[in-house]
Amino acid sequence: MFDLFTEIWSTLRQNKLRTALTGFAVSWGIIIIIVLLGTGNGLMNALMNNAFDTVQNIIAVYPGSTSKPYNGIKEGTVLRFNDRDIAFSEQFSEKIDRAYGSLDFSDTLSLGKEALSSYIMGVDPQLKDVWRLNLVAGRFINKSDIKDKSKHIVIDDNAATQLLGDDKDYSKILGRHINMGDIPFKVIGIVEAEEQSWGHNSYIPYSTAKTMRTEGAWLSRITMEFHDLETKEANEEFEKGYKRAMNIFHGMDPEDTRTTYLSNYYLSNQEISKAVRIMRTALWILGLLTLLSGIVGVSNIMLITVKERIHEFGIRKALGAKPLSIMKLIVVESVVITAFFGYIGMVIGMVADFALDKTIGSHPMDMGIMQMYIFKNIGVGFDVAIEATLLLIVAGTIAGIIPAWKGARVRPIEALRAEK
Amino acid sequence: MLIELKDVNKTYFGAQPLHVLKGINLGIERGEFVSIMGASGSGKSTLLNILGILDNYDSGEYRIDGKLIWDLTEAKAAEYRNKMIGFIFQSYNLIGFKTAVENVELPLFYQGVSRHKRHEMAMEYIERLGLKDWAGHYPNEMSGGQKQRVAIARALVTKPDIILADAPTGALDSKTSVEIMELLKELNERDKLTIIVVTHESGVANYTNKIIHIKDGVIGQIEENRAHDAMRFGSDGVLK
Repeated sequence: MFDLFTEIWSTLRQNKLRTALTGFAVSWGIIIIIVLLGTGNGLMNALMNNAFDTVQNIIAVYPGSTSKPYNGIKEGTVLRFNDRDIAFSEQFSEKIDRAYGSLDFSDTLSLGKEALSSYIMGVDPQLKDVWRLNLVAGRFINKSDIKDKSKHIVIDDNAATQLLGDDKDYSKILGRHINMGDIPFKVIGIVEAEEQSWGHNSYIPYSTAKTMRTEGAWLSRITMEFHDLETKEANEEFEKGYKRAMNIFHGMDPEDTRTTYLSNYYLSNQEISKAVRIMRTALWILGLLTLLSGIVGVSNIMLITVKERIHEFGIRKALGAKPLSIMKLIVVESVVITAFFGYIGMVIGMVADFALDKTIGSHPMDMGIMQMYIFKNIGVGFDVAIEATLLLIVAGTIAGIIPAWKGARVRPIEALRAEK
Repeated sequence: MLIELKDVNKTYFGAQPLHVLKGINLGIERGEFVSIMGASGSGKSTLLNILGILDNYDSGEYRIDGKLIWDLTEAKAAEYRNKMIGFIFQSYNLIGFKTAVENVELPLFYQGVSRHKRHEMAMEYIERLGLKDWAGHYPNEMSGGQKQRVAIARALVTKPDIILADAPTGALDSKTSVEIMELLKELNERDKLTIIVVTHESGVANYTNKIIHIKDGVIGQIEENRAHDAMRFGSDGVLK
């Protein structure tokens, strides 16, 4: 193998400019692939992040109002959720594992002179996992908090920093009492603020929230965890049945679809992963087509090289070179050119991805009411690097195979007679 | 008999079929120093190609050391050429981007001889041909005579049964031609090498011990030339 590489090195050295130009085409193809896939990944990461950072099999139910009069109920009557609806939801289908209620409202949090407005959610302990909240200090609401209706609160890190008067060491706020309106709450935990957030989110026990909302204590939302709803059709069927049952339960028109709003995270995620797959495939195809022109270039150059070297191959054959060894010489040369320049392209492409990530990838777009990332974590994974390497070797072989065949096939007397 | 040809025929099929070799019968013993002489178009180049297993023949029999050379695959032919035949060409046919010693190493490379051993063997022959100081030079840095000596070293390095020289002095001046022919003669006498020289120059042929005349695709006269006086130019060693 070493001998083969010395042979190839000596021929490549002969044609530095040509080798470099050919190599450039390949490098360019790979740069395009890596940058396309890298930014594509960034776009998809941002998309996923902006959409639903939650576990997948969740349906959230929000109350709506009737769209027409029915059986003595006026149009525009609001459907109100209470604890009976949680129990009802849990029993609606054996596909529902659990249902939780949430009671949300907005209020002002203050500590000393510092104050901020926050969205307060009265939640069950499980919602931490359902929403994939990232606890950075302390603990989340637990069962005894629910039982005791304790005045405990979990706030996000930004809120903590702000309440401490811009102190980055937000964990100092743990154990201190802050005021919600004029009621003191003890900070028991801090979660990481969501990146695309409309404001601050704070969490208190569901039971505590209920005591604070005296006017009927209606729920803001019921969250259901389900299983075994794999297809779009099954999900739609399930949702339709649920709405109907809920309407009947509340004495409303069974066919009224506006009394509840369902947000199915599973379906949304499925749609997004489908879109992501399509996009990824499209990017690969684009990249491959670009690379194709590079491969054709290499193949072309190899054909010229073989033509130029036909006399040399004649000498080699006369001296005992078998067709296979001539073929190997050309194919390996092609692979070496492709792989070497492809690798350079890969490195440049990854550097470009890195630069893009550090610029457009780390600055959210300001959309007025909220900030949003268009790109996030631009770059390709190790798997793509491996795939690209294999691709290059295959591409090099393909580029070399026809020229190699031509070189190997020529008869020694004809080759010896050829122009030098 | 090292080389045996029996009724060898060869026709080139083109627009006009050309019957180039019309039943060649020839035998060459091991250790012989012979020349095949003929004008252009006589079929001597075709005969040389067949002898060198570079080309195939249509009918008849060609044996080297009893081994029938017939219907070989490219790979097998390459192997036979590599092991049994050493070529010396008129235009040297050295590879331009390889140094003298690397050129000599090439047939050994195709035999799968290790890098180190290959270099050692090639250097031995380079030295024997008086090119020690030129081993690291590229062909375009050498004179015609030096290049031909590199080519001879390359032909000898595998210790082949037959040395086939195709107009070895064709591109050289008369002084260098004499040197090269003297060298071939010496190799035949000292190392008992079988050497076949194809030429149309009578002076070159006169160096060999046997001159085979070929004309219009048939073997004509075969001259014994032990005294090296067959040609009118023979006695004073002038070739051209």
